[in-house]
Amino acid sequence: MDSSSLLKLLSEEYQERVFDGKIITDVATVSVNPGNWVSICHSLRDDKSLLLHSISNFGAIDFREKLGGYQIVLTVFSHQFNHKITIKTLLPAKEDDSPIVGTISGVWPSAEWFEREMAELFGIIFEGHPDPRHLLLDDDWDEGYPMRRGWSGKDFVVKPEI
Amino acid sequence: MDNLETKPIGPSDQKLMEINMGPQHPATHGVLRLVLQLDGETVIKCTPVIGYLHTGIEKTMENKTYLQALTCTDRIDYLGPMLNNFAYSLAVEKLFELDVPPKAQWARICLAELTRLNSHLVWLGTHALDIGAMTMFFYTFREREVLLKLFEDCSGQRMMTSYIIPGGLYYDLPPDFDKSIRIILETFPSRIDEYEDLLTNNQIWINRTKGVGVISPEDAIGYGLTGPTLRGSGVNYDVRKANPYSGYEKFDFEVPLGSNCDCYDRYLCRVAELRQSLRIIRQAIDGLPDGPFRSENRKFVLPPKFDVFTSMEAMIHHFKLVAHGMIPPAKGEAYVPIESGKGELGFYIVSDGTKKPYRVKVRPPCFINLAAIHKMVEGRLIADVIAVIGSIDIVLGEVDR
Repeated sequence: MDSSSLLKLLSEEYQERVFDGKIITDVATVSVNPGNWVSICHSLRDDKSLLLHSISNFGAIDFREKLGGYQIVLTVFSHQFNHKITIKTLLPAKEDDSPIVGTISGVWPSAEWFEREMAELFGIIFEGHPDPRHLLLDDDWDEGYPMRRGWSGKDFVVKPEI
Repeated sequence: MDNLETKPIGPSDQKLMEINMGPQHPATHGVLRLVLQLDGETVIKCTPVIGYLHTGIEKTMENKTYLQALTCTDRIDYLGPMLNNFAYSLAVEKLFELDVPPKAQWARICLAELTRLNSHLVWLGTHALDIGAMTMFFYTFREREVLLKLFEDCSGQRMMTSYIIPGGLYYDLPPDFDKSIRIILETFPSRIDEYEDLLTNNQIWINRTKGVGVISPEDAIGYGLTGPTLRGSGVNYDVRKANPYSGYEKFDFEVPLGSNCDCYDRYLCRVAELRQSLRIIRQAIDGLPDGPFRSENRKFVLPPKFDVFTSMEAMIHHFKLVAHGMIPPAKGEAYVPIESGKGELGFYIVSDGTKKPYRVKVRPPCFINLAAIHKMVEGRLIADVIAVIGSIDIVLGEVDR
């Protein structure tokens, strides 16, 4: 299925849960509310007309200054149909908040490591995660969340602008 | 951090033993630590512990201009630097709406396939070394030397090339590029035959890899595996065929598939890929067009170095681009996946309209492939863990970033 018909299908079938549909670099992209995050992931995986069985990419962006929170971006992929969908959600957060969202590691098992990575680097809490330990950082890391904008650590110096 | 002593786990299951394989272990291909729960020699549970090589590359890239950030990409998967450059450049070109001249596109495909050869040769050498076929290591590194010499001729660097840049190539191709490639095309097929003579029908090799590390196609898809690790399970997914980029649709090649989902089939897939890569290189070098090696859009792309010394305009452009960086025409995001030696690789770049990327998220194939290792080793012998690590072809620089 091509991106525009995917987008049409998404906005018709899931119209009560998705909004702001558009095509970004040839991929149908929709936004959902954080409350619907886990349920929409379940529905998309189980949708027989989409067959989105694998995660292609899953990451977070610190948009606290511009949008007032962290955006998590998930791209899922279907091998059978060779199509992709990107789902985004904005987790509202102020200065040092740690926003909470449900885990989707029960939906796609490979989400587990991505979520552990986001949890330690951005400070997003994935509720119900089966293994919420640090992944890339030391177990006893206590210098905050390095991927947040404006983070500064012992050995991390941002050079002044020219 | 846990100590490295072996210890029994609790009174109820006295027979189980927990040991650390790695992080300093010659067969873990870098600093990978696997916490193995063993019942005798059988692996009951395998928990990978990663992050020993975490250098915060994504964070570093956020603090560099688009051109500077290119040099970080070499260091992600250091066995396939040009493929990383390629993926990053494609995403940046999408963001900047840059066109790439045909010569650069064809040369990029040629270089990407050479890099795939390089990556697969290191994989074959080290994988065979792990399993005990020591000769392979010397053979593959002998051939790799030819490729590294060619990369050095192109870019001045053997490994950290930064040769494929947004807009084209950093330098023009060296004058004897065609000749070097022809030599590679002539010698490599017989060398690959040599590898296959040593391994494909070798009874020890078959015993160590056949039926080992089985992952079903359903699990492979569910865990998001890509690259030869997925294709060894018989799932036909290759980004070059599924979503062709940079003109791959013009090339005639096949995607080798396995059927038994084990280490042996993944080996066969990669060896067959070596031959297919040579096929693509032959087509790329035969059809290599003439013309500029880099886009002439001076707003975003560096002028050729020679012009910088001779032309005032080029000098100004160079100074502006290096000192001020390139500013994307619009805010937005871009992601272009490519098929690297390990699987689907891509850079998800978000721009806020300034000279530095707002966020760069790498889609690291090794990271995702490694996350499924427990599916392949649990219930098998500890010696099979070594074969499985080799067969999923990880580079810890990319896993940890």
